[in-house]
Amino acid sequence: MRVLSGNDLTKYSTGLRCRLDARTKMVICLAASVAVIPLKGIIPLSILLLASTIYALFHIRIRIIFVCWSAVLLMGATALLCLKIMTVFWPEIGKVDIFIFFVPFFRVAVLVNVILPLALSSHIQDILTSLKSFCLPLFIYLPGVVMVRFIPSFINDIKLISESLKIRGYRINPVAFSLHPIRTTRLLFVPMVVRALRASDELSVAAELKGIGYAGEMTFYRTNKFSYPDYIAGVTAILLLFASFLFEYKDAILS
Amino acid sequence: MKHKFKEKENRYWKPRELIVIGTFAALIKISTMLIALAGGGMNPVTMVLKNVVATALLIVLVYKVRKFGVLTLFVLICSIISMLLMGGNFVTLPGMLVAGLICDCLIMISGGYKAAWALVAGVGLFDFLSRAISLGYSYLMFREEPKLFIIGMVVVIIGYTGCIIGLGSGIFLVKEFRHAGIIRE
Repeated sequence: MRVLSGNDLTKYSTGLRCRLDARTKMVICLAASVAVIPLKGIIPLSILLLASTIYALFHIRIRIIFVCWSAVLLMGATALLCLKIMTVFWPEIGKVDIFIFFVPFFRVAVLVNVILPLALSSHIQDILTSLKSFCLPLFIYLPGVVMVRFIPSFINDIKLISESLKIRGYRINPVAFSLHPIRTTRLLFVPMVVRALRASDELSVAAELKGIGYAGEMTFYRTNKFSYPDYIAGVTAILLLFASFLFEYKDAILS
Repeated sequence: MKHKFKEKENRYWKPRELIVIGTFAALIKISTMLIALAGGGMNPVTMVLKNVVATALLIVLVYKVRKFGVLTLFVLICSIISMLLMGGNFVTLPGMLVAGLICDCLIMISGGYKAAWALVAGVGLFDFLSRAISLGYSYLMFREEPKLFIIGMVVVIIGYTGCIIGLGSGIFLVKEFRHAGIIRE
């Protein structure tokens, strides 16, 4: 049946944006998140930052990258401001080496760059297919799929609840949360929980009626295959990580 | 064939329970993110509030799925999906799994999944351990500038007060849901 439907031939995008398989993006994400922990030199981190920026530019719009980088900078500025406030009460901690201060933000920026393509340029269907291709057991696969499928519908529910609150004269904003935290949370939270519980009940009944968990092997709607860009991206990532570690530990290696 | 179906019926996790875990994992993720965004980031009120909501929902979850391993499975699902969709961190996953397992064992030892106070103690410890692991990871990330770690620690402590409030509000929420017939046990 799967062969007849021809879904393996479906292509979402022919551009470079969506060419990489979700699994490749996950592996890059994993490698970057592990590699940034031992690295602390400016040069190795700069190599990774530059490479990850290019990688992010291939996948997402420059405006989104700027917005996220602004958020990282804002985070740095807020931390600096908090540090200055703390200096008033604890003068010993006031001496800040600005160079060392921003090293952790290099790590955060690298992670942001590798996370954004995975989060923003992967289709939900691709992620579901990737989950299936990992051959996960049902007790991991089923809640995972439910979670992935429910996140967009919850966001939609929140929009609807927010609209209905606007009609009733309530506004959901930072001021409302700060001045009336309990009331605002109750107005937003209770309808959402009731909706979620009902949805999970309905979904459970539907799953039991369809025999999920009782049937034999599942057949895939669509299968993902690695292509040349995946291999190129993988090899480049390994080389870059190797180069960064070489720069980090060159003294130890030479001596 | 009949024998095969019978064998599958004896699964430890029923599809209904797995769906509830998935739904709650999504709900907790979305509601905490929404409160953080609506509160404007570094707002101490929303920092507390989002933890209240997350802990209260976790209490409702352990009341709905009273089985050994519910917290471990919840952590596993949340971490996998965070990695796939939101770029969550891979490094904290082993620690979080161990934390979930410890808390499941604590619930089991201290009265089982039928005792309300054991559930509250388990979720309370889970919140504490997960924050400790996150702080450990942030220490690794910000080790060059330990002052930044102190700021992070203050933020986490503010958040944890929300978790403690959330334990009480979770019980209250469960009572309300039981009254409404949404939670039956």
